[in-house]
Amino acid sequence: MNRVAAVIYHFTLEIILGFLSLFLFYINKKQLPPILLLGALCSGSIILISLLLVKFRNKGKGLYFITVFPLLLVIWQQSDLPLFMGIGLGLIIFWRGISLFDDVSDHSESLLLLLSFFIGLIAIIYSAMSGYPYQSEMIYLLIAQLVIVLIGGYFRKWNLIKKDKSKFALYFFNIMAVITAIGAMITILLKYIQFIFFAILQFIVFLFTSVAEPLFSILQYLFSLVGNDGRKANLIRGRGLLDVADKYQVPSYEKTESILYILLILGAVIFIFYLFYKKKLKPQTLTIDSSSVITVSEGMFRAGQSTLSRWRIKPPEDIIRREIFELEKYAQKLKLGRLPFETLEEWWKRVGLLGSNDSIAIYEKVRYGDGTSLYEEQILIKREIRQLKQQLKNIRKSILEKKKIHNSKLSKRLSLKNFI
Amino acid sequence: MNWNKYTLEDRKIPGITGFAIVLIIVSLYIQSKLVLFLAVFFLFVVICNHLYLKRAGDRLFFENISEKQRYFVNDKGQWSLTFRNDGDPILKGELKVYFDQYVASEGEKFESSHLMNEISIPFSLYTKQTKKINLSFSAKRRGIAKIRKLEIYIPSLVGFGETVLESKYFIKQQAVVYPEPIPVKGLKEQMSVHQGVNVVPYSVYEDRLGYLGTRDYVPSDSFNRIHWKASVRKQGLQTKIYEKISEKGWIIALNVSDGHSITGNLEELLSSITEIAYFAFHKQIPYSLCINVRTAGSTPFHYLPKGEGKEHLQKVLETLASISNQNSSLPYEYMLSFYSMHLEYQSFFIHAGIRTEDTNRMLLNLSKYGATLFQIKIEQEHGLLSELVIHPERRGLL
Repeated sequence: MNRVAAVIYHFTLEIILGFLSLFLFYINKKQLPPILLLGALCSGSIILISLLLVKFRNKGKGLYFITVFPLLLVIWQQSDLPLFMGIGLGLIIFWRGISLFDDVSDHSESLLLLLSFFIGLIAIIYSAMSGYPYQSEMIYLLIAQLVIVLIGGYFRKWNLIKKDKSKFALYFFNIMAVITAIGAMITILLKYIQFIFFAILQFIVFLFTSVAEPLFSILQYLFSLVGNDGRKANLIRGRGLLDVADKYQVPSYEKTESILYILLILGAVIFIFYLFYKKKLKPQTLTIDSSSVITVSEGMFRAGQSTLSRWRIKPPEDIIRREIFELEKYAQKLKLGRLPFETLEEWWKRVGLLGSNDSIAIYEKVRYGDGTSLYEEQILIKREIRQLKQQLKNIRKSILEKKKIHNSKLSKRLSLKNFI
Repeated sequence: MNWNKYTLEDRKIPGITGFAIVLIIVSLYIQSKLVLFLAVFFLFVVICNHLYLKRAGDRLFFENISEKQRYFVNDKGQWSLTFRNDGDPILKGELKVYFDQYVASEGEKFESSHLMNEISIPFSLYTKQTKKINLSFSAKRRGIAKIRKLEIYIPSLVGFGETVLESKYFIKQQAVVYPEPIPVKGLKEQMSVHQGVNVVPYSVYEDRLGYLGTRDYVPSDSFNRIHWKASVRKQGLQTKIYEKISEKGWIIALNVSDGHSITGNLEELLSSITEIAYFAFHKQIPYSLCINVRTAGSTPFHYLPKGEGKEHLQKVLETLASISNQNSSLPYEYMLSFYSMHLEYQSFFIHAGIRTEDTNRMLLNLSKYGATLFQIKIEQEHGLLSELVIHPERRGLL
């Protein structure tokens, strides 16, 4: 049930992000997008699909297309929106449902929040410019997004503890209440803040002009002393062509503008290249890391080449062998792959997987003996492989965390060195 | 502070903060209170997040008790870790304990390939609370197990990022797992039968200078044992009784090195020595122990002076437990020469480990001073104690 809740929580965040992007298209039309209809459909469908997946596992996918999908289309038909959008929506819900159900922990809320803020910012500015009447709905959605992220993140942790639940809850809600109060207070003071802000801006402009004014007058004076002849000549030449010169001034601005644009684009391109370059550089500079040492030794065994060719082979026919093959493939992706000379047991030991001896025995029977697998064995292997995948993921995560800590230590040390 | 602290803030937060600041400026232009509230609310959440991550674990104290517990293999034991939190509450953190593989938490399969065991425990602690975590384990292998590192992952209460605390100092709790004995053949057969100075209950040798008293004469007693003065006093022949003595005192010398590395038979050799130690304890034989593992101090290797009894046995077992593959060794010949020059001389020399030509020469030298040489060999899971005969090198006359 926790899993269903997590899926719904995460999908709600995604829906809100979707709504915000939908607003972008409706601002011009000065209409409210069909939020209610979409919200009801999406939340209903995601609950149903996750329940189906919980109850029927893989069969749930098929059941979705038989039951929920047509229902969704029927309801969609009632509204005036085109049918292909309904089909698209159904497919999107299906995709998100499966992907979230497979692994909720993989998806980050802060990324969704970042995107929401980005799209929200654009939508708010755009709506303010075009006088969109439903601007406040958008802002409410953004606030809801933020609040859901905060409370959802907290609730997940809070739900897992057993002692002092009320104390922790009180502490969190105190913090939130204080933040809300401060936010509300500042909001009430909007006019004063506005006043102060614009006063500061005016002051800066005043400062700039008061500094610039004498400078310009000095410049003028200097020009009048030195550059008199040149200017005069210019004036003489220009006198007759005054009208024409006025007309030519417009294209000359265009030229500088286009030069500026080109510079801007060039800058952006260089920046992007720099980012790519930096990304490429990073692994090279951090070769001190122990995990990269392991990859070096892998290179010595020519694991990279042989494994590459191995993955080009078709997966084996037998179900158990195919499961193991899939596991190896998955591990390869996480850079914990099996080396060509390793037995299954050795590989598990090296990587730190805790698999049962039974499954190894079954695999060896199927792989090297003449035996065929029984149905119960297949189920056992399948269940175990699922656990092993989870373990692999955890191992990978812990390796990455260690790397992260190592990196931060390194950078700290480096910065200290530089400081000294 | 007890901890090294690393803060990992979510990387997207600076981006969102940037947008929030832009939103504040936008809100001033479009005069929207809602937008301002949104931006200010988020900014304060970020500030709270940052403050929490910075302060988390600042006043979390770990009680570092100095404790040494001793176990035999398969004994059950536990470490207790006590924490006190005077700072901000910690919600659903994770405590990771790293300890040596000589002990393993219960239910865990023992695998020799692991260098370090790791256990993660959920860790939540409210302000002004203490928490005691008992870590049960069972002793698996000979060695001294220590908790090498404690790590506490504290996720932000507000939700973005986490703080990692890493113990700065050594955790002083240790569990000594004594070695297991393996049978050593030929141990009883090599019992001392030579004359010496130690008083024993049964021996064919007697200390002619230390006599205990007299008893009535029996016809088999020799005349030179008759105590004439006592006989006159008692008006009947009296025989002197002497203290029975025997030569005792062993030295066990273990060579842990094999060329440049530690010998592969280390465990078996240590187990054999354990068996000998138990044997000596039961027979009340004093012995000393030398192991060529480098230490600091006036004697540059592990040396236990001659002793007997329970305390000595405990010291010996602890010394044997402390030997590990990571120790750096000292040349065995150096240890032997140090022994012959500086340390108390024992008449029975038991050698264990690899023997080279140089070693042979040194041992031969020892035997010239009267020591009887023995050696421990390892044969299929049991030890074999046998006399060591080294023939002097023959040099041809040229």
